Amino acid sequence: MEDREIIDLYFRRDQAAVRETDVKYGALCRRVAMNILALAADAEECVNDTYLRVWNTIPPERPERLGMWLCRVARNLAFDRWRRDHRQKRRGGVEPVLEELAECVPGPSDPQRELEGRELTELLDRWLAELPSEDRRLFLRRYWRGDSVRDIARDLGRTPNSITKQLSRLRGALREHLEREGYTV
Amino acid sequence: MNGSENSAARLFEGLGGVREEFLLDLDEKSPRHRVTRRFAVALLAAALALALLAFGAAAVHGGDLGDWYADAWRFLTGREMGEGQRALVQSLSQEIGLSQTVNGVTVTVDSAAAGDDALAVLLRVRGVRARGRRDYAFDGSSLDVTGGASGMTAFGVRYVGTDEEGAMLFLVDHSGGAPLFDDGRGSVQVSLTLRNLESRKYGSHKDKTEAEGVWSFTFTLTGSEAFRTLEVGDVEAAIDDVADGKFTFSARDLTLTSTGLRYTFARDQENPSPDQFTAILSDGAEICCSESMGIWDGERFTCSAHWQIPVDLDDVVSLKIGETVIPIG
Repeated sequence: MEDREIIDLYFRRDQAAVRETDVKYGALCRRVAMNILALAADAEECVNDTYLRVWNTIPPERPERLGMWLCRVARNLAFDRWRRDHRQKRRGGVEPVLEELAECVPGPSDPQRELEGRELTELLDRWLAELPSEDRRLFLRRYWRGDSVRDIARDLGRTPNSITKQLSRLRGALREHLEREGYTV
Repeated sequence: MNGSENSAARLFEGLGGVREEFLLDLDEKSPRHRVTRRFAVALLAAALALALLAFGAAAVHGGDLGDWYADAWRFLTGREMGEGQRALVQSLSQEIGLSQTVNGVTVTVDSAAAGDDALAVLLRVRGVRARGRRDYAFDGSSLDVTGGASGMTAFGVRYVGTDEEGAMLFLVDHSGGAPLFDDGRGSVQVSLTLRNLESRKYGSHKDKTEAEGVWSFTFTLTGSEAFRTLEVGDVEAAIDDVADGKFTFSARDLTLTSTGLRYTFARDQENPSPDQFTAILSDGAEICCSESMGIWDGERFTCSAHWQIPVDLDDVVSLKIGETVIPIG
């Protein structure tokens, strides 16, 4: 079913909207949630929460790209949940991704220069826009979607080692970019 | 969370809001890899292992690569290999028999099969007990093939189950966009390096190190006289693809080989996924391609797709591309 038709179902408050959303985008949302939460049961709950959020948001919202919009909602909800659970115990999921991202964070600087969320995103947008598309896709698969190095390597027909090296180089480049801009996160 | 984790978490959140246009093509390959596609269902090793695991048992295979192909053939077609098919697989298979033991784990390069632009190697791993509902993989691996034609290549190492004595079996598959041998003659030198054996529970994202070490092998594979090619020429086919929708596919200079097929197509054309190419044999058995790759030469893409198992071309009666059936011979 086309996105437009699914969104029309939401506007008509027809519960088939959720079923059609799950048929078309359920696997993608589960993958994003699973990459962050690592536990299937948690990921499933997160996907259900995503559908509830969508049900409560459309209408009045009418997202231009439903799949991408769902992915963002699932990612945000999964990360909120991971942070909540993380206070109780350490576990997998997004943890290795965060450990890698910690390498990009420049050392302490003027606290006044700490970035607000939107400002940080704009800085990241500028850095990503300058990257060759292959590098940008690789970086976002790992750090936006949380895909494992092994899965990325498998999809690209490359070795995990070469992917790890390329990601390490990109993290170094991001760190330099953040330092150059004079910011700390 | 400590300070560094907090900062990383803020970075992760900041990434969450990046421009939508960056996220639209995350699964796209680079132009160099644009037409490289692996068809997950047809990743034979995984399909075989998973099908058997679904019934609560680990996939068990005996003998050498020829026996493994026979198991795979039965699984895919529901019938035994015919005489010609058996002869082809035997002819392509070569015994290697090289072993190396590191930290109590012995990796043996058991046998290999070399075709036109693809090769497969069967590995046995002893010294680590395989457990059910786990996938095994090497953390790092490299494969270099020298002596044959150069070009774009891809390879993978996949756990495919155990043999009757409990040794783990891995299948290394290598495929390229150019022939390995000149008219099936000559030889190529293969260097294979494997690093650190890991396992992962199904459904988990956490790897467990089973054995640390580096296992390296170098061996020679020779071309086979049984290998042949069959020129089909220019073709046009109607494709109805789940992901790409309906389109007409036009290819030039399509050639069948025992290990796959090659063709060229224009840049503005859609390229079918590899599973859209199926060899139909005289007994009705069907073998499709499991992966394809291609390279842009400035004018056209030259694409190469590979059968799930090498196919006896004498037994192929037609080639099905999408919805279109093209008689052969």
